[in-house]
Amino acid sequence: MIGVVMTGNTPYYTVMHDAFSKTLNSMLPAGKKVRSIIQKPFPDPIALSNAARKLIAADVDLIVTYGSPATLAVINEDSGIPIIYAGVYDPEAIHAKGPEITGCGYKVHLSSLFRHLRTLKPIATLSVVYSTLEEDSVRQVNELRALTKEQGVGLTQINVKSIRDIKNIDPKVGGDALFVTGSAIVNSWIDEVMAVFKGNRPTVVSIFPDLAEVGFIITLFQSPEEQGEKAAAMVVRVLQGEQPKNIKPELLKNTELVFNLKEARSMGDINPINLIAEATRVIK
Amino acid sequence: MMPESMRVFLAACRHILCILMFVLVVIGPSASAFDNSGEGLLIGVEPEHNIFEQIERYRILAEYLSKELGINVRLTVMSRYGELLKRFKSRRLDGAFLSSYTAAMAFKQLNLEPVAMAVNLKDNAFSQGYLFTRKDSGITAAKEMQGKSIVFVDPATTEGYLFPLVWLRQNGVKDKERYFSRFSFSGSHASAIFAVLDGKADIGCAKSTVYNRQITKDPTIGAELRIIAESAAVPETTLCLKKDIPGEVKQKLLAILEKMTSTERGRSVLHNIELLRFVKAGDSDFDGIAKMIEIVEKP
Repeated sequence: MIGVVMTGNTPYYTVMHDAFSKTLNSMLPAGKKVRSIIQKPFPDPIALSNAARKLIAADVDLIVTYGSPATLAVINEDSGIPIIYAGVYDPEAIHAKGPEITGCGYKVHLSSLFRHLRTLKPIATLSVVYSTLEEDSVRQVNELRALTKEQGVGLTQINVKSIRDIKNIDPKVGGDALFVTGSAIVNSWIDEVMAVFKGNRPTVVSIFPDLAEVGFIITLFQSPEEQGEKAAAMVVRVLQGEQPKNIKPELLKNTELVFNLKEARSMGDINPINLIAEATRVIK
Repeated sequence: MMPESMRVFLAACRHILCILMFVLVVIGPSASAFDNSGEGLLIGVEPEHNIFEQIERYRILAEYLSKELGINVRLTVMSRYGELLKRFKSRRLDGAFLSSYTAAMAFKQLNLEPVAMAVNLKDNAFSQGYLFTRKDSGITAAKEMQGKSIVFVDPATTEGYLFPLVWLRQNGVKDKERYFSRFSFSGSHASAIFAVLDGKADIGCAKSTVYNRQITKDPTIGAELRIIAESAAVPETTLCLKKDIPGEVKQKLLAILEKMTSTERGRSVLHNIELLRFVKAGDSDFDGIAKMIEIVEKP
């Protein structure tokens, strides 16, 4: 039996888990099945910690985690149960290491996403939506802060810890563009975030794919499916007796750049030719 | 995730764009190819990153050359590097503005000869190949490239394929398919740069002129990339003509190109095509490429 802790109920991790389940079932020997207990707590440290403890109490054989907050919560319980993570942003930065830990993380070059955005329109002020409840989201804001400072661009931070925070967002703070971090909370409520700016629709870019189809103009991301598949392959190896410490963690680099030309056209006077040329996919 | 159909749609759009570029982008009034009676010259041009800007720039050059030469000069932008070698005869081209690799091959295969080299705004008729990575990749040498991904530009480029192959060979890598986890072709020098910046590939190569132009436009690019190796200088763009075109036509064309800086109109055209001037080209300018081809072709 395996336990699964997902950071919130985010489409990105859901797609990852679907790919994980499909791959796991296809890789298991004929007739063998693996039961799983799935936890999708709100990405609050206490809720995540409780979810981890429930799985430990259920005596699962290993725990699969999606996202940094869930991974950190399970690591902190120090249960000795093997942990396979996926969807962790830059795992080295959170020291997701140990004899019983391995997995598949990702890294998106925020500078690249910002560069693509600036080829589309001049950016004097950038707004970033994140959550201080999620450390990976905070790391991304820190990276953006350094980047925007270096390039003389203003940065407005919008911290979302609850649905009430979204209601309190001033629609005027959208700036020239809105950067959506890989926060599970923000991405779970992305429809609500976008609704705030209704009528004054900002240019939105993100490091998660636009799974909710809310109209992100540029997304630079790593495939959630590939991470789920890689995590499943690692789980099979552990179930077959290999130690996690002997399974090399992976950092995905196969970035996808998706440009939503349809949304971009609604912005008016833009020059999208470079983005059309560089995008791995153009939404028309 | 967006449906696969969108990916297919994009691929189809690119394909159609390529065909359109090849079929429709003949810049200048319609005429037949050069027929030894001075009626017209059809000159091929290899594609740049932004094909639309390129078409406009070369339209101005075609008009200028037609007027000065007294014969109809048309320029046609090819769909990709190397396409020219395949299509030269079927398109009945009289010559082409060629990058160094295609030029070297065209001398052998198509009986072309170099006439004039374009001198860029940095007062340089030559470019170098750069092999580069992201600084945060930790890759500084060939041995650290094993198992990583590499993006080339096109098999028909010196800076974007021939040079990196030579460098890899000289650093002990003979089989790129086994050494790298993945290799791909970006289709343009600028795209190879963005592929590495975005993380689509760990290692990339491109010509120095495009690399430096991108950094001038956006200095943050230079701060994020590290150049691992540089090739010797090779001619960047050379006008090559068929050997059987009458010598007086070639000489007149060379003279017109060389004298563009002496008239206001000529300078204006040069400004539009982002060049300082044209200078005479010779076979010896391509000696370095022949040596590189020799190294790569060695078993």
